[in-house]
Parts: sequence; structure tokens; C-alpha cells
Amino acid sequence: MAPGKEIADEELVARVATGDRTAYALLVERHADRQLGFACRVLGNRETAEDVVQDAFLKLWTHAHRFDPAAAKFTTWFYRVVMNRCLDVKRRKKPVALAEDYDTVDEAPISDEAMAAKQRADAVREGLDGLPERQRIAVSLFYFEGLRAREAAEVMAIGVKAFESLLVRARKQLARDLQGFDG
Amino acid sequence: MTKQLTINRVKELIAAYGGDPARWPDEERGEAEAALGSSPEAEMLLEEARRIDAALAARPAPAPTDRAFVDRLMAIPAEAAAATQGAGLVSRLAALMPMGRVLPQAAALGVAFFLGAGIGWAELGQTSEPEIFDASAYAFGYMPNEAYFEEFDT
Repeated sequence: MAPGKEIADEELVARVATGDRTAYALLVERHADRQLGFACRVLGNRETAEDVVQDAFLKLWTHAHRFDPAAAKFTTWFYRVVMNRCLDVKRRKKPVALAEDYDTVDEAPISDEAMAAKQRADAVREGLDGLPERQRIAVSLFYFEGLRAREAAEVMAIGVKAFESLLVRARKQLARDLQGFDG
Repeated sequence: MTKQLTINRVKELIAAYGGDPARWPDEERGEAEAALGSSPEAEMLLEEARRIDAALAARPAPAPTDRAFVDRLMAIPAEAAAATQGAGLVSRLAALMPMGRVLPQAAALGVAFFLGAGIGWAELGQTSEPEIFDASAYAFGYMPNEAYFEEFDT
């Protein structure tokens, strides 16, 4: 276990607010991967996702004093910071073509079975990328980030019922996209 | 909660959260799982939902952060401190000036003007023919002579 691993995120943020760089570094180690993955899935572009996560950590460093542990867990707050930044970027930029390599790519020789699996994976990716923004965020938070419905709804600043509705619509769309790939 | 309502709610849970009851809201899971066995329709929906779940789970994760990116993140406190110090220095200098913030800006504008004018004046008398690329002549078919290219080839 890394030194300080047992310290809660919320305690580390309080230390960051006093200028503690070690606490900041621990939060980077704990959350950079997760937040980058989330931003990649929302934006579909790794370079932009890195910029967004960098901005989010800058905000963490400069605005840690604004975090209120009584109002939300650190992860909820930080997901929201990253999500809002992603939405800002998406509003400002025209949609960009997805980089082919924003997901990891397996270059192994392709059998018929593997080809079918790849086609299915492509259909899932295209289906997800084609979802409306809020549905895509909901799916990312719940299925890929593993957040509970209540926490994911809190990140999105909506009620659980509204969050549930986003998931239902997203899954229906994905089911349509995957028709013909079941086997 | 009536049995019918419970089955309907189970269907909603499956439609939203998928085929793994562990991902359903804690407060509803027990009752929903109990109701599940009595509804063949809900069981069928559960199977369908698991196919979607499997497709989502099979999606590769984005590549993790690399060292260079982590280094960028780790450098943020030092860069923020440097930026703050720079801004603080400018503020302190401005405060020392009799006209506050206006004087440094006016001084910078004046320096830029004299530098630009000086460079422009010095260049004016030194420009020779081959260094000028006449875009309009090129556009109308006039190509620079060999001497022009030779100067750039050497």
C-alpha cells in the first residue's frame, strides 16, 4: 500500500487547500486514470480529454477550499468538475471525428469468431458514441465508472428517476444498435 | 406494494440497470429479486439485459495515463505558484508606479512603438531584389529567375 493510502480523499483535499503538494500528488495518483477514462468516453478524443483532466486538477489545486465534504464525496465532486469541463469543451468545439486509437486496439490475427466479436465491439462503440450527450454520460458513470445510481445522479445534478430514464433510453438504443450481432 | 406493481418495477430496474441485481438500488433489490422468480417475462427480460451488459463489459477501456501526462499533472502546483509569483511581482511594480497600472502599460506601448519603428527603418535601406517574393507576379505567371532559387539552394 502506498504511503498515505488510508487517508480519505476528503482529508487530502483539505490538506491541498492549505498548499500540501504531497496530498495533491496522492489525489493525482488515485484519480487521474479514472478521470481520464471518463473524459475519454465522454469526449471520444484522448488529447482533449487530457486537457480537460489537466484543467480539473488545476481547479483542484486552486479551488480545493471550495470543496464541501458535507455536501458531497470528493469523487462525486471531482466527476462533476470533469463532466462540466467536458460539456464546456463540447459546446465550444464542433464534433471531432473519433480517433481510431482512443480505445485500446488488439492487433492479433483475426479469426471469424474474433472478427464477429470485433464487429460487435465496433457496433457497441458506435452505438455509445452516437448516444445523446447526457445518455452517454449516464452510461459511462454507471456501467464503466461503476458508480451507484444515486451517486451518478448526484454527479449529473439530477434525480435518480431522471437518471434511470436516461439509462433506459440509452439501453434501448444500444439494443437496437446490436441487433444482428447477437449469436 | 402489490405483486403486479413489483413486477413492473422489476422490469423497470432491468431496463435501466441491466441484468445484474447487484447493480440495482440497494433499497429495492431484495423485494425485486424475490418477485423475479414468479415472472417468466421478467426472467426473459433479464436474459436480454445480460446480453447488453456483456456487450458493454466487452468494450475495451481507454488506455491508462502515461508517465508524461502524470508529470504534467504533478507539475501543476509549481506552475501555479510561478504564475502567482509573476502576477504578484507585476502588481507590486504597478503599485510602486505613481500612475498605478496605467503607466507600465503606456511604457510598454511606447517601447514597442520605438522598437518597431527602429527595426522598420533599419530594414528599409537593406532590402535587395531577390529577397522580395512578388506574390502578384507569381500569380500572373511571372516566375522568379534562377538567381532567386540559387540564393535559397546554397
